[in-house]
Amino acid sequence: MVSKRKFFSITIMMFVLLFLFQFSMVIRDRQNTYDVNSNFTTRQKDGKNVWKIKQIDPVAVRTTDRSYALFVGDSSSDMATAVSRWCIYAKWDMAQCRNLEDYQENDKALPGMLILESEKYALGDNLEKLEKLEQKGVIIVFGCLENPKNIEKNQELMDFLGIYKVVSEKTKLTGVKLFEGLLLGGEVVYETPKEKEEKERQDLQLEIPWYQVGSGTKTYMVGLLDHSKQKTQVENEDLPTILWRNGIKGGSVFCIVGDYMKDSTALGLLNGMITEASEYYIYPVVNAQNLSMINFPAFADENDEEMMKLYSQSVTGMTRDIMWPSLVSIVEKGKLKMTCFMQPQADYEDGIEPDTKDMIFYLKQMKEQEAEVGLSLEYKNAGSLREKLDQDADFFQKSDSSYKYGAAFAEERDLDTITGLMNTELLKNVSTLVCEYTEKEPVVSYCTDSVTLQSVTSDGMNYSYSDDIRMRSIQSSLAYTNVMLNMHDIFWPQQKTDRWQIMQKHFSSNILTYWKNFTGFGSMTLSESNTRIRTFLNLDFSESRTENEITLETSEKGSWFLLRTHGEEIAEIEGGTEKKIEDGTYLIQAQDTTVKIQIKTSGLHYDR
Amino acid sequence: MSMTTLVILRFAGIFAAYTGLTVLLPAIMFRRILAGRGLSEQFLMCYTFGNFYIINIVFAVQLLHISGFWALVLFTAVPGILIWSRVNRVSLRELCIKTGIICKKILQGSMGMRGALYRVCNRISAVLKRLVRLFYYKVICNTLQWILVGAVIIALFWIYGRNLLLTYGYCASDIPVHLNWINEMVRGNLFSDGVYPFGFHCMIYYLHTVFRVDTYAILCVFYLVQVFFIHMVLLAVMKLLCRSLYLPYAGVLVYILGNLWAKQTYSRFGASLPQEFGMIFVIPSVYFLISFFQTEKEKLKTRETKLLSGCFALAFALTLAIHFYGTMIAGLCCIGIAVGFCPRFLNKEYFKRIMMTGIISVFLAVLPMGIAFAGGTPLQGSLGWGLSVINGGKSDTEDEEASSEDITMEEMAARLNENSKNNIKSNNAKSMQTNMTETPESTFADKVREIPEKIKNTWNMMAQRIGEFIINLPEQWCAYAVLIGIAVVILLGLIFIILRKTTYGEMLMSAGFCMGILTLLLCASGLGLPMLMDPARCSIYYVYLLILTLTVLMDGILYLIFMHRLFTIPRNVLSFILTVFIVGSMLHQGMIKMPGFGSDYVSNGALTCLSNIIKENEDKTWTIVSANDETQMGLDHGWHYETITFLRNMEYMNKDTKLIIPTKNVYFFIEKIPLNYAVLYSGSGQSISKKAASQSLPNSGGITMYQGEGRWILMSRMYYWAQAFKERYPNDMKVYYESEDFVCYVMPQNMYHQYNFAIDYGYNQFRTQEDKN
Repeated sequence: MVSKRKFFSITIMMFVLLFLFQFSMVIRDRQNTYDVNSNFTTRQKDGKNVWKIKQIDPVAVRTTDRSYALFVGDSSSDMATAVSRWCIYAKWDMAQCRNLEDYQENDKALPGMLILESEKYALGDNLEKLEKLEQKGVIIVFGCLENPKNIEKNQELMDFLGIYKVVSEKTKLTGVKLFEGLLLGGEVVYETPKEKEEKERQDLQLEIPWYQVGSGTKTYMVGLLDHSKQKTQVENEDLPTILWRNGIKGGSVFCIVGDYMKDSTALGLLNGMITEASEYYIYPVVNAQNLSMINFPAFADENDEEMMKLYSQSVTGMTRDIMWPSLVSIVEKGKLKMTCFMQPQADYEDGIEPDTKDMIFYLKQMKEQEAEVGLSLEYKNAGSLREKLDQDADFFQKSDSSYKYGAAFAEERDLDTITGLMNTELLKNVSTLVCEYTEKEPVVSYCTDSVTLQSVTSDGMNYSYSDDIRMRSIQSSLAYTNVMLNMHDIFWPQQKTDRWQIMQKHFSSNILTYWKNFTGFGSMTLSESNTRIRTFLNLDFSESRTENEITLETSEKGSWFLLRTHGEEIAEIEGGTEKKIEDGTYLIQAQDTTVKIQIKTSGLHYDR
Repeated sequence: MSMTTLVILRFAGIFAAYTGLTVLLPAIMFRRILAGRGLSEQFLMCYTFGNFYIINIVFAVQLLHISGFWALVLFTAVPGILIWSRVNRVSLRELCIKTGIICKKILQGSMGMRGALYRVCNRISAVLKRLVRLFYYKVICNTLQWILVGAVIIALFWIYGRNLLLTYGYCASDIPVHLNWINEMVRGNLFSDGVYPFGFHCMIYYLHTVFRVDTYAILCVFYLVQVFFIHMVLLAVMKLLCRSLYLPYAGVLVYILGNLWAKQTYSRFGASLPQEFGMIFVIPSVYFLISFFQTEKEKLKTRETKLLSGCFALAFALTLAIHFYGTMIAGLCCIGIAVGFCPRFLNKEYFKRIMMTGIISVFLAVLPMGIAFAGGTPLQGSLGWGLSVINGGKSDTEDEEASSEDITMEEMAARLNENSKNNIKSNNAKSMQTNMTETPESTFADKVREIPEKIKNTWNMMAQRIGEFIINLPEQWCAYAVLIGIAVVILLGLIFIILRKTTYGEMLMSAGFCMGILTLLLCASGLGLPMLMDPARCSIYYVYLLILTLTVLMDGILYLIFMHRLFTIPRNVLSFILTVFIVGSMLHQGMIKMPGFGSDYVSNGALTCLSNIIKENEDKTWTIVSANDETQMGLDHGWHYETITFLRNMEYMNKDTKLIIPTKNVYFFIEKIPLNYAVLYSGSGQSISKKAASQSLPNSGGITMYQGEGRWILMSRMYYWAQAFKERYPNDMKVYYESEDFVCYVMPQNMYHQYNFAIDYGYNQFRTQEDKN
């Protein structure tokens, strides 16, 4: 028999246990300010102060107060666009000309970098001109070596490019190897794997001319061959070279085989080239790692029949019980922050209305995960975008929430329309727009004076090798990424692979594999990122070095920079903070407008 | 950490390890036998046994092909413990049982941890008390002597120790050969280059394997350990032979500090070489032999005499196991001692024992070499040459090339001087011979009449030799004084024998005869005797033993004056005054040695870089391109590429020329002021230049291209290659270290896609396709 005394004690103990377990939950729930967007900043017209690139006339360049890049080639080409975007981000001026003859050389205002669209601009007298410029310290970049025949028959050009032999005009590669140093993220091999699923990732240019480079060159990227198909053993040093530097008397000539300079991949490559050609290089970056969950969560039980068939749950149930827990797990492992772009409903004409019952649940959950909620402006079926916005506004009003939405996702084709609707009730607080990756838009820019545009840089579900090179390049150039996970295909599946279990597997492995080398950069939501982008786009800076001290002058406090050295380490920093990203790469935050960075004098373990 | 600190720490560690093994370990093993003896005798016995023990352990494990850390530790510890238990009459079984009981009690809980700790603490405090008592009796009660010992050590470090801090590298050309042989031992190849006295190599190998210190690092600092023991052994023997307390200190201090001695007599003390290591055991063998002969006939069968003869056998065996020159000198000294103790030597009882001891000692030393020789290992070049010299086949200078012996600059100068004089002499002799052929043959009476003249000539010649090779003073009387001193020692010995101080007198005579024989060895070429040893080399031993002889001479004179037991104190007081006076006069007159610092073989920069490279990099991930001996120095850690091979590979290059060094980091050692590497030339000491780089690469074999002018050309070429390569890779190729005379570049590589180091650097010949056609 249990005595009364013991019974009383057990009851008290159980009560205490219950209290201890429940107390924290109650407090957490009570303290959850789910209705407040803590990352929200009021929309301001910062775009008026944006740093603007100066177009220099190559014919009459007299003096320059900052470095400028000279692009030789078609100014409407993809490469010209990529170079001009890079100039904006790197805060360089730019000059463009159709031919090298158009450029009037002036020793007092030489370009920091000369980018040729192809080797055809370096023939005849132009090569002599290039040699002179190279000797004067101009970094020469051959953006794309197009015609091996032109090169092979011109020994002088071959010597200038550092090519020892043109082995064949076309060779089939099995993959590509990118060495560490040029781009951040370390060495990587993009070789076509045997697994069928993985094969889909291979989208690199695998038929290229085979150039063998000579002594004095440094190789950054090589093509990989199927050795069983080679007549003789090919040494690693003799593999087809894709990206290299030829060092001639202190100068640098960079050559690229392939289309890597024709999209955003050029951004990081150009920064890497300057780093390789200089003692050190410091440049501004955004420092933001974003994860955008597009069309998530959903509130209307649309496409119910299909959903029930696939998941035995409605859309809202599946979103809440299946997708959300697994997303939280992946995001926590990847040490990223989410921005979830809610889509109340996709089809506005099917008569199925969204239910507000899960709204508070998601807001609370997201608050706990330090995630932000944004608006998805994508839709499957609606009279017009305006109509969709009106209906969504009704939904959010019904949900009894005063959450301020600072970010919105829109398809690139709708951007113009949306900029005209930015003052509507639903979008009046939105200060940053996100759109899918397209070369039509820069990675980060001002959409209007008061709204920024952040392009998605990678699709977390369909990730290819060229995407990875581009991602590394953008990371190297801007310390920025915006990974998108669009749930539309999951709610409206078209093919077998549009299943959550498959998508989740892809997304999880991609995030945890390809982004793991960039955890040194700051993870944030789109609104936080928006603030940093405004600072980045508006800032101007200058830097100088005396012995072991680098002085950085910036117009914006709180701006971020990457310092890339060749193994030199930071000893001390004044006016800012530093963080080592990888060997010879430091992330600097300017807390003041002047930052002084002391470089460690290379001391040996056993000194004299 | 500075290199100076590192060098000091390395020295301290190696000194402690070596002293622990060769002095402390035997002192523990033979505690009971050593008890009651003087500290000097204890030291000599322990040191002799300790070296013999370690060297022979290495020989044993190497011949059994089981050498390694654990084998060496086990072979040291197990016999050590067995000897300790037997000598000190400690039953190991009882000890184990006792310890087992204590452990059992602790495990059972009948003895707590506090109780066990209390026992351990008690034991430690008892040992400490004993040490304090020992310190009190040996040090506090002999303060004055210990102050003088301190002075000797300070003098040693002042004269020889500074070199350790100022020069990190080797100071003799032959060390790379010895390093190679020791490295081969690590790989299980004893006598890799043929059978050779490997005692020194065994000791260094032991220190390297057991204490995990790089062999090159040991060889850089071990010379000071050697020098320390050379002098300590001399001091100990003089303390044992002299009747006055303080004169031995005067002798050692004059030897260390005085600039009375020719430079080549001590210049080799700056390098870790087998000859100097073997030299340590010459004097102990002399002492143990004298002690044996000083034993009364009745006591010949006692354990004490057996111990003395045993120690003699070990010391003599060590000289043979380490270096033949030491054995030669020790053997000649044995003859001198045998002459000094002639009556006893010729006595059957003594003769039988000493001959038996001699045979055993030779057998002990030769056994490992004999086993290897029987196993098919040929004799090393210099050993064959040495044996032919002993057999009278060749003289020392006739076949210098055949010998791999190491020489210092001073020795080389002395040899050159000697050879030029020999040439003049031989020319004179030839001309005299021609003249003589013209004169009629002299009669017997004429020959007799010539004897005083010949004696006078010989006397003058000997004095001249001593003046030339031994004494550093311009006055000729000093050389005569040395000869007279030797004669006086013998005479003094006779006086003591007459005064019935027979053993002391015989000891003095022995010292005199030893020096007499060494003088004959030094002057062998002038006397028409076979030259067993080069005079420059002989002079090192000569001065070492001369110090002993002159000290016992001084001691003999003092003893003659204050012979009576009552005069012990005045004798000691006078010896102290004399010691202070001699050393004070030397200091006052500025007669202090100024040894030259610096290595002509490795620059400090190269050693600094090597130490750092080994510390900073993973093993086998780096290559050094240099003209030094980094092949052997960093053998266990990385790779080495010869500068000459590097330059020759791109000397006549074309576009197809490839020079790939497949390691993550490649270091280039370049001397901005090239070393001479023992070969002086008209531009010695000049810095690298374009003029030198424009000369063609030295086309010679061996290491001759790294010497003199050849090195200047190579270093200049390397420098301009580095400049040209750095122009191509300004941010990749970095200066790793730079000083006024040395620069080291480092080139990190992508291991998947390595650099082609072959470039047209302006001084090599670049051939294009057109040139080829």
